[in-house]
Amino acid sequence: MPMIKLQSSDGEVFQVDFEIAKASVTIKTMVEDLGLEEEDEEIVPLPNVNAGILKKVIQWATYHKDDPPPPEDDEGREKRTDDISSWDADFLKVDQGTLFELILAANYLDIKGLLDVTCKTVANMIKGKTPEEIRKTFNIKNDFTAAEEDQVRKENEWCEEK
Amino acid sequence: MRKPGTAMESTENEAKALFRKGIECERDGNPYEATQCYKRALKLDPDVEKKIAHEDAIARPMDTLNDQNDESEDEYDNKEDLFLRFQRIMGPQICFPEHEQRATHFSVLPPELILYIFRWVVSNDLDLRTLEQCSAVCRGWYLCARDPELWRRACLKFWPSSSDDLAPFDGSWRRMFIERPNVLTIGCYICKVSYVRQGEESFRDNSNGPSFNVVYYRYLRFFSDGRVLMLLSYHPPAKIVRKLQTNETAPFNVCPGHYRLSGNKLYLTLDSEGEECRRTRNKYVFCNENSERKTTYNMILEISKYRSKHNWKLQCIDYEIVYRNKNNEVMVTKYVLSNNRFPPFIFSRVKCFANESVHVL
Repeated sequence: MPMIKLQSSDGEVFQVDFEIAKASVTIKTMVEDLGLEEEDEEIVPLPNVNAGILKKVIQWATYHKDDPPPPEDDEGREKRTDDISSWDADFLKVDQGTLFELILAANYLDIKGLLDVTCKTVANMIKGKTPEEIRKTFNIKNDFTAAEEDQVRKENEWCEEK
Repeated sequence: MRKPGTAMESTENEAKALFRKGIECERDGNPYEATQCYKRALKLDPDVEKKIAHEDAIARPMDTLNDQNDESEDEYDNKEDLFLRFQRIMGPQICFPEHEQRATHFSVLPPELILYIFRWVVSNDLDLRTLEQCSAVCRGWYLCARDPELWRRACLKFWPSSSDDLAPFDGSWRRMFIERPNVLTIGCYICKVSYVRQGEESFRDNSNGPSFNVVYYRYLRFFSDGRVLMLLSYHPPAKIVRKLQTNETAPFNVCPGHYRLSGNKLYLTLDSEGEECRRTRNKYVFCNENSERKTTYNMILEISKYRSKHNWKLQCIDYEIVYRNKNNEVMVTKYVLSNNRFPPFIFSRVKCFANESVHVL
């Protein structure tokens, strides 16, 4: 089976089955454009992903290597089967920092499945929370002035009970 | 007893010094050394990070003072459009940490990824309310949550080709979504019907016959894909609304159907499948062949404001029931719509409908 070598931003080299690495459109295109051969010793540098995150990404791609390609349109959305699988849920039991880094990596490497599941996880951390709870969850500074905050509240009244 | 105290203090100070050295190393782009410092510091005092954060917080009031001075030069005058204002005064960073943190902070995400996360927040359920909550988090989130593309996508769910209709809403997709007649999909519309029914008169006293106050509810639950559920029940909202989250969780006597928007009118077509059939839920064909008759409800509702809230009120203006027996004979009954027998449906948000994102907007 053809293998490929990926180098993280901090210099660690991972040898990965090309079939698995192909989950990343970025790597796939890079390899195709460079015309890398199976026996090549060439290393693909990934300057935006550190070793810890790259390891997680490879772990994810390995588990999902036999997944059908993601549907392009909304076809089949009646089914609720694409909920976060229990494996993914366990995989994503990481601290927030890692989650954001995974989102950045999935975006940079262009792995739609991983980007979706990580963004959905962050979205579900936001759902059902008040602005103050959201700020607490993500340690975000409230930089509104009192007058601005008041105006935002007024603008948002249309969907509030009171 | 004093000795251990001082020993503890010095360990604490040593840990703090190491930790600060770690921060410096990290700043100088020396992550390996930084990690070593952090590790040693944490070994000495597991709480060192908290203590440092606390000290820094005490040392900070000067900054906050400066911040306020900056803002007083550009006070919000209650007239300026907030979107344009924040676009004008915000730098490239979307948000800032409240307390210093070593872990990667939300603010590393570029706007396009925050928008993608917000599409998951809104999701197929059109939970624009949570998006509005996001807009109230900070200035940068406000800019993202007011991004026209999110609201355009939401509008397209109700009005597939609506770009020509933007003019009355000052070109704002958000205003169109809020003000143009549509239905809210993060709760139920509830119509409470109550009337007094006279009981049988007793033998002894004709003047004091018993009377019953009958209360029942009509529930309508809309989905963004054109489906609707109607339920008639004696149970009050607190007992029922959660169950209307999906067709699958709904009580067996719910009527599923479809709706269509046309101006401020809402056209509903609902089918009563018959009890046994919905219980087994197997083959629709099987059910049609065997059921005695099929009942279809056609309802026209008028969408309007309720206490200044757009689309919170639905008034039934036409209601007919079509019976079809197995010989395909049709019988139509028109409902008499006197106001007290059919009060308006009023919207009520249901929290659990917006608990979890399933599909991206």
